Amino acid sequence: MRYAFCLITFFVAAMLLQTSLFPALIPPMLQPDIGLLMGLCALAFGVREFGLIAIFTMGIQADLFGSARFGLLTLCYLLAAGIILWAAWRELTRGDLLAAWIGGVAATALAHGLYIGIGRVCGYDVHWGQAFAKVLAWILASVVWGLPVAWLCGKWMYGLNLMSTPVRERWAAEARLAAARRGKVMRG
Amino acid sequence: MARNVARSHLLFPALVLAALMLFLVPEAQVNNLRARTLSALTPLLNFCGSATRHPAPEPALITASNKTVVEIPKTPAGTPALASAVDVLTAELVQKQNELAKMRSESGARDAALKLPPNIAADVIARQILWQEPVLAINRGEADGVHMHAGVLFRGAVLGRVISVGPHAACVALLTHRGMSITARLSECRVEGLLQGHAIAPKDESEERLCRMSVIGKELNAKPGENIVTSGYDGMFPPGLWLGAVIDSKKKSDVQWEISVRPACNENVIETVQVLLYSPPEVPWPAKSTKADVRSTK
Repeated sequence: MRYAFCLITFFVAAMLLQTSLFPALIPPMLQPDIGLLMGLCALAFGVREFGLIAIFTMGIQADLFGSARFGLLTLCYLLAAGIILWAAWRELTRGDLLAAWIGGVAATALAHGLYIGIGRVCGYDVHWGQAFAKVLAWILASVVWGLPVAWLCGKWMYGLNLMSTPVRERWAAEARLAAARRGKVMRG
Repeated sequence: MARNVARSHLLFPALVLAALMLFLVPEAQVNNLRARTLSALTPLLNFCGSATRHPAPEPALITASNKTVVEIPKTPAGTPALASAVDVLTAELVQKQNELAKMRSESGARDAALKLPPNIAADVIARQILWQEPVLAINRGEADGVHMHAGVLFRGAVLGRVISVGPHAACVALLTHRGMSITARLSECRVEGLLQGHAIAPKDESEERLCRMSVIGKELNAKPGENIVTSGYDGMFPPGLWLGAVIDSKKKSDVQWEISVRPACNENVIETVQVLLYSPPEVPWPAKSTKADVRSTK
């Protein structure tokens, strides 16, 4: 139930941010692919099955509003996540904010690179210059927003108790340490 | 742990397969799903929109192209975000309609310009280099109405002209042929001149074959890339057919300019051409009068 709730909140948050808040508040150059960043945070902090399903859900969310072909972005998200897990699953799943951040940037580059490649193979009209500029903008935006998104998603998952056990232990230890520095004692 | 890893190893391909299956969803259903999702999220989107969007502007008066004034109806109070969206969309609609009308009129003019004079299609059946000049042989001759010096086009641009005709075949010299001369005009500055083939044939095949255009005049404003079209004064080609583009121009003497021209057609890619059956209208020039005739009319 908690997993479903978390997925729905991610889905709705990504949709609201992509369709309403970002276009109104942020210049196009800095509008990130927020769904992918969220999905990758779920993959980095949560159990692997939940992370993969979150990536799939975020892919569908992205496909609904910004894809040449329904399913193409989902496939690219999953492939990018698969490549990152294959290349650096140990580093990614340490529960580090930095790892989630770098993973988000790499996933953005990979997923959209794959999208362009597969789109070309499928015969969609992809203009190299425009596509390259857009991917660069997404990468730049993910560099800017990756860390805050990772922190927020981490906090949300920590609050919902959805983190994988080692990550949760690590976050709890950090929280205890921070509380001790402030002169408080935390249980748990 | 091992069971978890195995489960995730199964889950990943399953999800990839599911993503591939999404390709099979018809576009109409995707649009339906998109609309439903947006409808479900409309309250949230409106809430976020009202929090971020600027206040809705008052409906504006938009002057349409036919000089009628269209007043956009006001939307009910209490929906500022929707009112703003309606305003923006209506303004966009009027703008797009104007653009569409303009493009339609332009494309109509272009279609009219693309109508070629009477012609017959001919296939290129041979290509030979005669005296260092490429000459094409086509499978149409006198029996098909082809006559000597008839103009030859390729995709609407001038390729050359017929230089010899047989009963069922003819030979075509290209624009770059050293004996070729066609009256031409620069498309933008409207200066007229004579387009001729290359004076000296290139030394090897890889070198690009160009034409030259002689222009008489003190000043010339030909820009590189400017198009050159037929002027129609030589009676073989109707006016306005594309000949090539300016590469550069140089002054030969006080009142003479020479323009290097890249011909419109590359002879190596030509398989089918159109031979013009064009004959210019006869002009009733007045008969040449002698001085005595002039005096007698006075």
